[in-house]
Amino acid sequence: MRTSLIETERIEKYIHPQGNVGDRLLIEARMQIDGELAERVASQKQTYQIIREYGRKQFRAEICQVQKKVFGDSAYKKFQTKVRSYFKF
Amino acid sequence: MKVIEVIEASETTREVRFTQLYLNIFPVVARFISRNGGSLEEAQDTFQEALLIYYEKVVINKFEPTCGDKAYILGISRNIWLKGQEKSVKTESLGNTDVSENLVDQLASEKLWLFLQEAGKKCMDLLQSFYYEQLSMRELSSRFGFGSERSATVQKYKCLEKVREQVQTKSLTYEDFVD
Repeated sequence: MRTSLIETERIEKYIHPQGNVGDRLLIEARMQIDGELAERVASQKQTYQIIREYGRKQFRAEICQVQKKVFGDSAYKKFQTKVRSYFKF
Repeated sequence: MKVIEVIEASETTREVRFTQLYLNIFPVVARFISRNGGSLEEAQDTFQEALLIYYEKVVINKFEPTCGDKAYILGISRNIWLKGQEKSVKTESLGNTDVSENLVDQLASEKLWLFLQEAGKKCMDLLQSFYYEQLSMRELSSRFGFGSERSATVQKYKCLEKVREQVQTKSLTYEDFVD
């Protein structure tokens, strides 16, 4: 792996504590003197949150597709009639 | 069948299982919401949210509902609906809240879409499979056709670095993506 990817991996282990304690302390110490590294760590934290939000959106879209199918496809007529009958006032 | 099996299966099988969840559980949720004065659209929104929470609790957090899957999804749906009702009573006096919230949602989605075009959908799909769905490197290799777990690991870090650079350059924050 190229050097920058090794650093990305180390940052990941620092953010999601695992592996060698010494490596984590080293990152922490380097951040004190290297502002750019500190920025990369902060951005990587944001990136994990954005990825999770993206995952949620993908999953939600998948559920929406299924919902569209069961409420639109004539193969599910019985289900549609049953559900709609609950909302006739 | 538990959602954990649903998620691990192929996309087609997953669709079949979600369809079963709709056919078997949604009518009960719909009847509950109807009896409490809600609409079909509200029942659909509630159920979507319940399935999402169920997935995250059971698959991501490895939670095993003791009451069984059906009762658990019904319980989540009921809680979402009741909480939503409390919230709407509290915000009723705030006037046109829905309109401004929709505008914020729209802006967030547009930002996300633009971001993904630049960062690359393939990378985001790979990253979400690992960090959100929590697939193992073996499963990741198989889903994305990598020759080895090592290749998948390298690609994962390349993608992570690429997206991180986009985040850093554009000073994006998590809040930019939340609906």
